[in-house]
Amino acid sequence: MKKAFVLLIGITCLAACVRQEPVQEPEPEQAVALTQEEKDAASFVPGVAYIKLSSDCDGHEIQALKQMLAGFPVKSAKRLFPDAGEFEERTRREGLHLWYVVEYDDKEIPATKAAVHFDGFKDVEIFERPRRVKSDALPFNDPRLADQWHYINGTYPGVDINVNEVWENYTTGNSNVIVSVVDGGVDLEHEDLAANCLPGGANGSKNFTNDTYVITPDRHGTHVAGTIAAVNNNGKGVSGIAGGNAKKNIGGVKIMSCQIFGDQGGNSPAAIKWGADHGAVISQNSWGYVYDLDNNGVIDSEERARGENISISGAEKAAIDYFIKYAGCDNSGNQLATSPMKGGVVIFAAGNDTLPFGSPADYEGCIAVGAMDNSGYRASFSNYGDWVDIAAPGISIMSTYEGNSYGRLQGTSMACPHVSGVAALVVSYYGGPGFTADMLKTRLLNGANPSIIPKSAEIGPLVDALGAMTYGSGDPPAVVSSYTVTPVSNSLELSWKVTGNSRNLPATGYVLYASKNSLAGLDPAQPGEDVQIAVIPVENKKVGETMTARIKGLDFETRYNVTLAGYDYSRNFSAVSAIKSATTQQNNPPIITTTYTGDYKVKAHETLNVIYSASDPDGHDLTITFGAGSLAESWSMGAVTDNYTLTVVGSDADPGTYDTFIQATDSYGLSYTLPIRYTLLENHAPEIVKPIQNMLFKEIGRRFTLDMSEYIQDPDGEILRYSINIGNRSVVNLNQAENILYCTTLGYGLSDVTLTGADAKGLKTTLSFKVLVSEGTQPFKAYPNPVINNLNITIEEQNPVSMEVKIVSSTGQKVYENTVQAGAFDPCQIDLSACPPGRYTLYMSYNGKSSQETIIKK
Amino acid sequence: MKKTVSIFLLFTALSLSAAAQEMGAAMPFVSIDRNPATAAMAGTQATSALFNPAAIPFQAGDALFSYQLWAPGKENHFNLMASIPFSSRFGLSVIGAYQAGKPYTVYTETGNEKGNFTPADLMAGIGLGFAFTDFLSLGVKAVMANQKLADDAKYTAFYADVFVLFHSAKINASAGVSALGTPVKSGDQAYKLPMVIKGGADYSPISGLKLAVDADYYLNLGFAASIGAQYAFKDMVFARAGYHIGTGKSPIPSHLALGVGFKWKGIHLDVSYLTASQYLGNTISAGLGYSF
Repeated sequence: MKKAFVLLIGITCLAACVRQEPVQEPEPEQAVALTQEEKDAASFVPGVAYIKLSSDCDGHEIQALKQMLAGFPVKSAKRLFPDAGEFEERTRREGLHLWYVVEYDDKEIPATKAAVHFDGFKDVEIFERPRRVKSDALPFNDPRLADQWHYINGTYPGVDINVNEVWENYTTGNSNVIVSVVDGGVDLEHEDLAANCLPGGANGSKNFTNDTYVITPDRHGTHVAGTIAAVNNNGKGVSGIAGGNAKKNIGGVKIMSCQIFGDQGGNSPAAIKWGADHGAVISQNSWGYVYDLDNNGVIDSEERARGENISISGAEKAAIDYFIKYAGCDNSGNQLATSPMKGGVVIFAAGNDTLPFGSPADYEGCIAVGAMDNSGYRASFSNYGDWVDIAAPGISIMSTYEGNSYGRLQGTSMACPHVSGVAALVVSYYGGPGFTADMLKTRLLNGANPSIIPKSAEIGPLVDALGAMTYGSGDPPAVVSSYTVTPVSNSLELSWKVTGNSRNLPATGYVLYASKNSLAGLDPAQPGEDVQIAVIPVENKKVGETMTARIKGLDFETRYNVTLAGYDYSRNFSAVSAIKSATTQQNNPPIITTTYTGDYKVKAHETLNVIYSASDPDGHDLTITFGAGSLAESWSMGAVTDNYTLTVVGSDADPGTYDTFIQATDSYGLSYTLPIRYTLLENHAPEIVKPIQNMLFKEIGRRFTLDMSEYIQDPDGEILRYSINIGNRSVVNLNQAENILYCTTLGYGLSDVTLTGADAKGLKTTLSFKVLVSEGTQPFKAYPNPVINNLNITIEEQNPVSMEVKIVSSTGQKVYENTVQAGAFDPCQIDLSACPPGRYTLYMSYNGKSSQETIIKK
Repeated sequence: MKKTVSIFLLFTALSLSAAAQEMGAAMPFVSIDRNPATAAMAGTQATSALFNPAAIPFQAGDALFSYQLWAPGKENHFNLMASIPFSSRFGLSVIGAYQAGKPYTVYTETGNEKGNFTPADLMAGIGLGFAFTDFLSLGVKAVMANQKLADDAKYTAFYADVFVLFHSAKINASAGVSALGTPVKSGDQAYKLPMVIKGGADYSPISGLKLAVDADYYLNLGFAASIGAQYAFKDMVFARAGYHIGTGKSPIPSHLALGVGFKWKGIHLDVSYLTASQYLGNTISAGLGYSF
């Protein structure tokens, strides 16, 4: 009894020393309705941009990237199409090496501003935001499935657990499969989990921190459980890997919460064993031992040295061994009739300390799970080493939070339930009498995808749901019994119907074979060197649907033998179809067309845009080149594929006739050139078409309008830019609205007003008029005074009238007398240059009005 | 004498060539008769000591302050003049005048108002008269004339009057030139003063009656002539009249002049009124003087 007590204390202490693995991302999410903005944002993958650098950057892409990312809140920038090894040359030839994926902090800079940022660089040829996977690729209506890149990766297609096709063609889970989640308490009443959770009780969930059946909801445990079995297709929250399909009334796998985290540490060995004794066949463990003993966030050399010597505790090893051996079995080790699997698998998170060791995950009986980011690289925090069996997504994982909420966490704790979930799917599909834990483990580990994560990452291959499901299959698709062959230039186009395997699941893909030699005895898995092939994935097509594909790059006008064979995900090939023969055709030149029917005459203020469409009747890839007739000309790719726009800006080059062209050349060098001749017309200066009469007003505050376009117009038909100049702003105020002047007299006096009309080339024409605002009390005016040469005399009459003028010296001698014509804007001028300096009296009269003024001659 | 005549002819020739294109003379106000007594006789001032210093040795001394409301321009003229014989052979005269013009509105080249300015003229001169014999004398007068038309238009000219005079009991006759001086320069232009070759005489056929005549030739401007008469009752009350004919561009236009005078113990008050002229009419002069 005493020994048992000591053992219990020891286990309790160990339990207290284990730690959860998550690194929480600080964005707890509540189930709230999305705003319109959020809905718009939901169309694209947040914080991710695809950028294609211009060909000018070829050879110094990194330098160009650094320049444009300086000061930009970038998280990472990688090639969209990674180095393709032996295919790198053609990858570069096609310009795919110029595509980059830039991840940035979309909280710091919204997508619209990011677009503006990149648009500012001439080296950026294309900027686009990757769209979220379309709804047809999202099998469930759970609103946050689009955020679960770890299931379906829209940014890096294929860098996920490849579960979509399993959901569609195999299973979404089975309620007779129980996964014990040894972790913090699962929120058993969560809206998106409750249906797939076993309640607390003698045969269900249990709290090992206080030895009761009352589970305390915990974020970590709830998040882990959600990844495995959040209810699918219920229109709420997230999807779980094996969460069933609520719409089809298919239950998911069951979550048994074995709570070991709380105010006190729980008995983890007992918790593991509890699962085995109560129907669980998969033990999910996102926890490990503590290596950061002082909890300062850094593992120093001493802590590391101590950690290297830590191995799994005896109690936990015993519990794990027990689970593996007895899960789903009776006391004798025989599979229970109700159990889907004989024996169990124990899956552990590798740990988040960036260490080459980690217990208990490194116990060989466990499946140790490392964490990967969304681009296929090892997560920075993940433990690693050859003891890590398999990798799974562990960055920015969206799942359930306690209290009917949702959010993202990261860590190997989040990677681990992905493996548990896939394991649960496999058991759901294959489970039953005779299905063993070893079979499951084999499928999990051997079906994993080794091509995503570099081996140097040392976190194993990426868990692959479809791979696990199809591993070891000997059930290839049926042979294609009927197909057609149609020559198209130097391609042969085959058309056939998708075939299925014995369970009528569609083929993963087809290989088309063509050879000038006989194809008799062709091994579809290993065709000879004289055979040209085309690998055609089936993608989303169903059995019986028609597929059409081509074997390209054949010799022209040559007879070929052709056939095809289907294959499944495990590369099990069907037999080849009946061999047919066909002769390829000659090469046809590309075609360039335009719907533009206007002339190619461009005025200086005009811009001509003509769209040309280039195509190849043979379907060959085209290289498009353009002429450069003048500086006014530019070419751009159209919004529609294979459309090219010629833009001619009339003001950007001298008048004249220019020749340019657009040339399309197919991949075999055959080209077609469309010559284009355009003419830039002479620019003409604006012209005065009507003079503006001078204006006489006798009141302040008088308003009037002028349409400047009635007076100055462009002979080329251009809409001119007008400007005004006011000589005396105290007399008149003019407000301009495009070509309309709104005028108000402000004070008495005379002001010159000058209107200027300018065209796009900067040619100007000016037109002046006078505005006179008079009090009406001084009908005559003689100026300047003093006068040196010419004395001007005006009278307040819009049109000139006759008036008598006399000038008398200071002694009374008449020095000038005449009848003159004068008006408000047409002064009579009297030459007084010969008049000696002195005072004179000016006598003026007209129409019964008279006045005399003193004038001074200098 | 011969030399004097030669100089006079030279000045005349110079004046003829310089002023051919002018529309009048500069500073024409120097031609105004500022003595109400002679003005009332249409400006017959050739033998007046207040105008012609050659007459000083043969006439009583006189000091006069006069005011003129000058019709053209309605200007106010204030004049001070005196002739002082020091002996039967020698005398001195002074003259000062200030003319206040009416304020005028200053306009810029574009016709905008730029304020007001009040022009003014100023004259000051001194004359010497010397009698060679009891019947023949010579008079010379030097005058400075200043004209302020604007802040940037101020002109100054110097000129001289030179006359000879024959004196007898009933007749005085004089000839000479007036306003012989420097031109007024404005910019690169030079404008001549109204230089005039002047001759005049007065005759007293009976006691109290004086008849006078002046004949003027304004170089390049025109001829002018004045006739006038004065009747004195007991040398206390004077009645005067005259007529002036101005032709061409002579500074003073034709007009009729009337006037009266009062004198008592040397103190005299004279008034003149010019009329029958479109621009000069209604010119009034009044002067208060003292003869000694």
